[in-house]
Amino acid sequence: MNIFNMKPYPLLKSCLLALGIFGSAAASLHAQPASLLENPGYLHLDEVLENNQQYLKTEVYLKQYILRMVARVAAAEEPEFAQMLNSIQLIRVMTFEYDQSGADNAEDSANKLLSHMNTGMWDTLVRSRDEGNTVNISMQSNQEDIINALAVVTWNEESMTVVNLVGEIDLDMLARLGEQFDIGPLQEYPAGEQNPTTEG
Amino acid sequence: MKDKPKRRPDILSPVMEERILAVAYGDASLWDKLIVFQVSRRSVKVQKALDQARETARLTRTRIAEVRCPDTVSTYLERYREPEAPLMFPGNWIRVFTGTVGVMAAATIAVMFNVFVEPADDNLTQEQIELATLEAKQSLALIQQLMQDVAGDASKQAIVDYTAKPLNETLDEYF
Repeated sequence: MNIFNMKPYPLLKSCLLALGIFGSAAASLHAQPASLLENPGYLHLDEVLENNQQYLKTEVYLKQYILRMVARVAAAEEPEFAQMLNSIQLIRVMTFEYDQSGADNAEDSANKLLSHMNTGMWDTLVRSRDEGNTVNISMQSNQEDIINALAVVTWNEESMTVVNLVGEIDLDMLARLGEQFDIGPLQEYPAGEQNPTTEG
Repeated sequence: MKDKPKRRPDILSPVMEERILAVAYGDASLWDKLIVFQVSRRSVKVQKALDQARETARLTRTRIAEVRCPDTVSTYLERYREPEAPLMFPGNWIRVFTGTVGVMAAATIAVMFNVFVEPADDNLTQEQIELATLEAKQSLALIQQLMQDVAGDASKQAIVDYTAKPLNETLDEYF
């Protein structure tokens, strides 16, 4: 007996059933929120980086798997810090410093970024202007009391800083930890040199 | 403990007999078909029983006068009747079709896993982990500092909004 000599209809039915099962499995994989790039809280900073590449002073790009490893290492001595990192999917910080020729770039780039954010799911928490420094803090929240993304854009004539946090963010814990970690400014990298933990 | 009685080599188990009949008459499950297929390849006895059952089934189908059958039975039998017109998929093409479906399904699953499941990367050095730890802490400190600055500015602005402005407006009414 050879199953391939069977009448076609039951065999075709079996094949279609198998295909349906595989298709469902594939669809369920596709339905998972697997890509950080598709997360609405992820700021797409490619245009900002492209227009201000020569002014880039510092870039921090810590993705989830790096944060998990750091959390694992820090868990014993700093459990609250580890707990915070385990709930964050991305920490991204970019700072730019401008000379005379690039003085307008900061405001232009920041305004473009903010107008792009206004079309997304961002809610502006605070916008403050003081002595030439402008700070804009926006957040996204899908559920009550849980912030899913935070974006801070601050600029003046000489510099611009963009911060993007994605994940379940506890602002109280963030404030407590931030006060503890008063350990100086972010390390600078000369233009062109790649941060070993940064992924472009 | 008693030894199990040895099965007579010329007798099939009742379960296998049922399976063979189901396969011969076309209403076996896929699992049963696979079992009968595997066993028939190794056992001449099972192969013979299957051939015999198939022949009986064929004769049974040809001998039943369809005009005496109820419509529901006729409709059911239609599915197992040898078609007069050529099949849309000739017999040998079914192998190609099932093979293609299997390959496509496997490829789809493989691609989905590669695209949507991020592989774990444990290849960071100790130095990189320490650097990442430092950067994470500095980033959190930066955020906290920025929010604190803004909170200070915002509270000043709130004082202006809630005191100076209404005061000015009230004074304007008198002057």
